[in-house]
Amino acid sequence: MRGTDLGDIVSQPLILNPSSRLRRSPLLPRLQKAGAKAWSVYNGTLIAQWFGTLEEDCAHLKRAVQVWDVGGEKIIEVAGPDAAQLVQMTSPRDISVLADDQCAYLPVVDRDGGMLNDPVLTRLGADRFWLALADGDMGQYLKGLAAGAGLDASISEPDVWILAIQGPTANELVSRVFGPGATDLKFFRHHLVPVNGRPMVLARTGWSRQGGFELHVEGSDNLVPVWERLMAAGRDLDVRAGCPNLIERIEAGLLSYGNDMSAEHTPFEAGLGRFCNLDVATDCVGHAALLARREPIRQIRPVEITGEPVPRVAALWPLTDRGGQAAGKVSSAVWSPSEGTNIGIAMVGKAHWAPGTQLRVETADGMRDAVVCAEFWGRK
Amino acid sequence: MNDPTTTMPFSVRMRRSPFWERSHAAGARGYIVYNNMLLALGFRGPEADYAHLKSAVQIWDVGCERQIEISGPDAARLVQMSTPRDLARMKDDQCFYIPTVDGTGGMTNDPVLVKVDEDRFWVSISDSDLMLYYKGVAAALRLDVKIHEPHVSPLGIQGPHADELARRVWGDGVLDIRFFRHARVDVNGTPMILARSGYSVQGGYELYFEGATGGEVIWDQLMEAGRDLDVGAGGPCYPERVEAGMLSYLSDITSDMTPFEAGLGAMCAKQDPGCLGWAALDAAREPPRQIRPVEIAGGPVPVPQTFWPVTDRAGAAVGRVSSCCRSYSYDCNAAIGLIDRGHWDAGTELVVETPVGPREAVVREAFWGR
Repeated sequence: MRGTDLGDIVSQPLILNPSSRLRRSPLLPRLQKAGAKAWSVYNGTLIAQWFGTLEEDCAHLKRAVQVWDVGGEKIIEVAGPDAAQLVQMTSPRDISVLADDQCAYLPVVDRDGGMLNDPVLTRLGADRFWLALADGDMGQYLKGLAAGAGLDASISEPDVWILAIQGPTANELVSRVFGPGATDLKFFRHHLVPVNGRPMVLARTGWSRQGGFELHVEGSDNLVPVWERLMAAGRDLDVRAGCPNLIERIEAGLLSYGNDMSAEHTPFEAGLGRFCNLDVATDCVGHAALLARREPIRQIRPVEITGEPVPRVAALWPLTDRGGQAAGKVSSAVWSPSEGTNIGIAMVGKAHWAPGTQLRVETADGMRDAVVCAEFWGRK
Repeated sequence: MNDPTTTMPFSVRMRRSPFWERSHAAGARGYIVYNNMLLALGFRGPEADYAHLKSAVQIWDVGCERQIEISGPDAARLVQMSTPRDLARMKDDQCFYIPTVDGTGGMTNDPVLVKVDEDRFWVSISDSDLMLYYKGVAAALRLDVKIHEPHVSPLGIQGPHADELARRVWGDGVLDIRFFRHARVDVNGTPMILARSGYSVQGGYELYFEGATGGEVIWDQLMEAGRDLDVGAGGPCYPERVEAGMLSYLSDITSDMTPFEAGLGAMCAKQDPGCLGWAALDAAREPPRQIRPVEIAGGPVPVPQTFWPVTDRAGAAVGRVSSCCRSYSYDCNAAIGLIDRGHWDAGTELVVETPVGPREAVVREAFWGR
């Protein structure tokens, strides 16, 4: 698709093979065969965007089970005597209370309290952690902190790839493939399951609200065999290749770093205040800044946008109140078939963030009415 | 290079420069993602782009070479902590190519450092979030610096007619700018930095355009002024840079490599200039492997999508090939290899495992045209 008016352009040709810089999963041919139609680059890794249509993928995710190649959630391993201290420096969330089988959603901040990433932290032991990254090279931040503070911790990118198994029948599929004990896991806990004769980390986590797991596949050579087993074992469950779904994640209020929040936002503005333990004297480098910024003047809100399905959000859409006063910005939006309206994620100023506030949004194809909602649709 | 392309939907996360619309309208055939921005590659077809770059002048939207602005009393100290290159005698109008390293001596980027003022630097980065490294160091050591990514987007003016085009737009003064030096020129009424630098060996400039919008004015001005010079849109040219041995961070240089392995030893000071990775680097001056030009025998091979293993003629692993093109000028397969000591001398015969089968290869003395 080509045009001169930016508003007409929904997508761009992406060159797939200019160099070795693009990380490719060994599952790529299988994803292509499964019908992946659009791609993006996430942490330097090629990731699928949808297979059928966004709507079909969303409906299937809500009724069956999908296997997602989310190798774009690149793993950084932090290990060594000072590993825990180093990880703690990055986040206001108190990680000293985590058990060895625990995962934690981790807002990562800079010295000003601005968000740099929001990975899932997996504690593998007192001195060994994995961080499954949102889009941003947090390894550079950890290396800077370690070099500056002279910490004894190694920071590496192990050959570990996440396969997510998401959807209402994820439990059934996982117990068939990895044994009945495999699903005996509480939310955000992990344990080892046998995979191709090797124990690997299975966690009850994932970037949807449909329930499921993330398997940390060690050794990229193991991806294809595991994929084949899951697909074969789940045939009668209608298992399909999938990927994080734009509709489902907006309904669920799952934020996307780089889209919905960035370094200019604090965790409080991102609505992640419950993950900030400012009453604990952690070593977080942003602790003082966050104490001063704990009362946000803008915050993430769900918004409904009236009218026909909106185009993709290619750049932030300005929000104004009915008097034309700036009120915030919409960062993600999509038509939700189940809600029968356009749903979006917005950063909204304090004066306008109360549920029911009537706003106007400047979409790529014109002004629309919008209203602030009380909660995300998938949480109702 | 007939690259297969696919669809990449837009999102806020995938950013575009103030030149993007002009560059796109000029017929960009596809993009790669570089520092979370779209970088246009290819306008006329691979061979025509190459020939045009070497014969005329091109305007490149390289806004993806983001600037990390580091300012404040500790700015110079912080920048020096990130590199083994001695910055002490850097002049106010100077640009430095700097290998940047972490505490273990591994390369984190290979930016061009621009001294904007005494206490203000722009680190013009290749593809990695080096800003996060600076933020980490500054936070750990409580340095008095401000670190942010300003709205500054480089615009490349590259090719043999670049001097003539720049002279027409900004006057004869630009011809006095020496290699890797810069001066201020007037752009839309604002003084902006014009440097004699760029990611080709054809000569030219990089304009550090300031502002989130308004790029189309200078773009149009350059296109208008250069019509009879056959000016056209372009972008970094893969075969041109591989022939010339211009390395690409993440393609040829990876985070596990030292500057010595990348062949950048000449950039490393003899005495510690205040680099955090110094102890590790000083112990790594004799690298076990190093970047080498490698010529691969036979007909054309595809562009590497992964590292291609390199063995000696007996089959023992001795390195990797990271970039390879069919050279239009030299009619051979020109490649960038990382080759083990003992096998890296010019003339050493090797075997490269390409996707179209094993091929004989030989280490060259120098990159093509050098």
